[in-house]
Amino acid sequence: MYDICLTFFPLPYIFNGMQIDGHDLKWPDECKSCKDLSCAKAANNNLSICSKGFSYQRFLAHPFYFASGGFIGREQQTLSAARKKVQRNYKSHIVSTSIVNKLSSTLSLKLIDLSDRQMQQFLKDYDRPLFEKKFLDKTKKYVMEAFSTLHDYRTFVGQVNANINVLIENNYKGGSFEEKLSKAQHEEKAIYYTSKLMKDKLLSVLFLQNPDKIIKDEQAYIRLYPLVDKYIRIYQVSFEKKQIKPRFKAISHGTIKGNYKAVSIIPHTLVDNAFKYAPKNSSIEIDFLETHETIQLLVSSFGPEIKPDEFESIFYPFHRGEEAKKAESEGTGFGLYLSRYIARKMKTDIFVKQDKGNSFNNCCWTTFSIAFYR
Amino acid sequence: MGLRDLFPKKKVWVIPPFSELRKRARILVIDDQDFIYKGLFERDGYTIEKWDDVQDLQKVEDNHYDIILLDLQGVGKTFSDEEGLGLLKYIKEKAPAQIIIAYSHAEWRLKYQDFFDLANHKLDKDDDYYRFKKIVDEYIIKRFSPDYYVDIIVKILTTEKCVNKQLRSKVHAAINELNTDKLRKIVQKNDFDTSTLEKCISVANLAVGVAQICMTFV
Repeated sequence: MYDICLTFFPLPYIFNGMQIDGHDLKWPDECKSCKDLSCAKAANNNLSICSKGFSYQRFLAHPFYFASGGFIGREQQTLSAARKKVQRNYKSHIVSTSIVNKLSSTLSLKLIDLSDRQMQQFLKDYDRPLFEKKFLDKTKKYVMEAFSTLHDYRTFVGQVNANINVLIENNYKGGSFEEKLSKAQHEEKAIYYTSKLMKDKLLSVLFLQNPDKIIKDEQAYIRLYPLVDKYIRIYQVSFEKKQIKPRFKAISHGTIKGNYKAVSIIPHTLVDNAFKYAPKNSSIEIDFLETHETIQLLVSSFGPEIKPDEFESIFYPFHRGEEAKKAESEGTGFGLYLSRYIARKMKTDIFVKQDKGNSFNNCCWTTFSIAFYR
Repeated sequence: MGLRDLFPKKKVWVIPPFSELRKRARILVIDDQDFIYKGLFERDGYTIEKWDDVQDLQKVEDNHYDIILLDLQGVGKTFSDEEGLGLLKYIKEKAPAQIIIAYSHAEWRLKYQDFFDLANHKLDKDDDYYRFKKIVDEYIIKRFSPDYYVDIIVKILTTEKCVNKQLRSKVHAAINELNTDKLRKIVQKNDFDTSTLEKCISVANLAVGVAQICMTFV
């Protein structure tokens, strides 16, 4: 039996004993605590009603069955009090029974039509969202336990940031904080930028556990170029130590809309990775390509070779490429995962390509790109 | 007698220069830990007081402070199980026009969302000084603007029931004329209860107090 996440399936369903929300409808709260589980035990493909008043049906997605429940088939009439109650409380879960019948027939067709190779690829593609869900569910408990420690780290970082603010404000003259910071000693700048970096790293963990905040929190108009420039300046001291020259091939005056903190994670990750893996005396290029609908950010640098089967897996959580591990032993392996997660929540994606013909010190010219919608 | 004397002078609400507002504004910080930016605010000419916890609730209820920066955790423990959230709810109930800027590291926990939603603004505890200053400055100006009080009164009245579209302009006129009786009539005409009426009048009285500084003849 394969683990499949039928991400195109609109209704809530059960597979391998797990309740999985549908693409359009989530499992109602009543179903999550249900001990009866009539839907899971469905023995035939007839549309039925459970004790809670919801409809359920078994579907065949050849070669296996799965059951869908937690919805309300409109044309299924009943005098049950439970049914009347759910109809009142879950109007959004009312679905026409003709749609349910159509689903039943197209589902089996979709999978039967696939060749073996296509079926393998289909299973591999759909496996990932389920893996993500299982990963998040498993790690949530441990990260929630660590939240109090996270709070302590944030307090510590906050103290460092506030104290360096006071030092710079008091010791340097200038109109704006930026002007004063530009006059600060190298060590003071390093402390300030390090505290900002630490704050952003902690933010990544928080978004991992609260992915809803990516799109639910306050959305703002973000100018992409200054955001990327901010990270180039934050890493400036580190770039100088490695004699790496960052360069903007183009700038952009365009704006995109999104959660500022969430969007920030993406350029931060790309610049951080570029810095971490770029060999000494190399360069980093940042480019912007604008269309009417999108602003594409491209971050290019020399980096460790990515093997053909790693182009997708480097975006998996806790996964790093083999050459990347040899080049740099430290790394959590979730920066790219989270960046792609955020990108997909924003209805876009991150891509990577490598030019193996353009190499320097055993590293290949690597470009990460993402097209943000305006 | 000049030509000007033939026409009666009108009093209008003019917001004083910011340098004057900054001198007058009273800022209170309630935080069980050090507020590291206190020295910087004092350096920049603000009057700022710091409490480790609630010291004089009456002062807060009486709108003695123009702006309160309120930490979420570690304060108000003897006051409420909900700590800073309980304190915030209480202040907003007693003094709906009190400007409260909430700040904490706990903004990600669902159970604290009410805290941040009730406050006028939220800041990260690890934000730079210039961001704290920018937000404080914005709210000092609001504190001395009539629109701030009109917005609060309209918000109080429109949570109760749907009211007519002219409400805002009627409330604005009453505030500009410093006429709390007019406001009382507007509220009573729309059949609001006594506690709603008293809330609106308390906000209006605060506006009248602020207007003493801002009203000038033209």
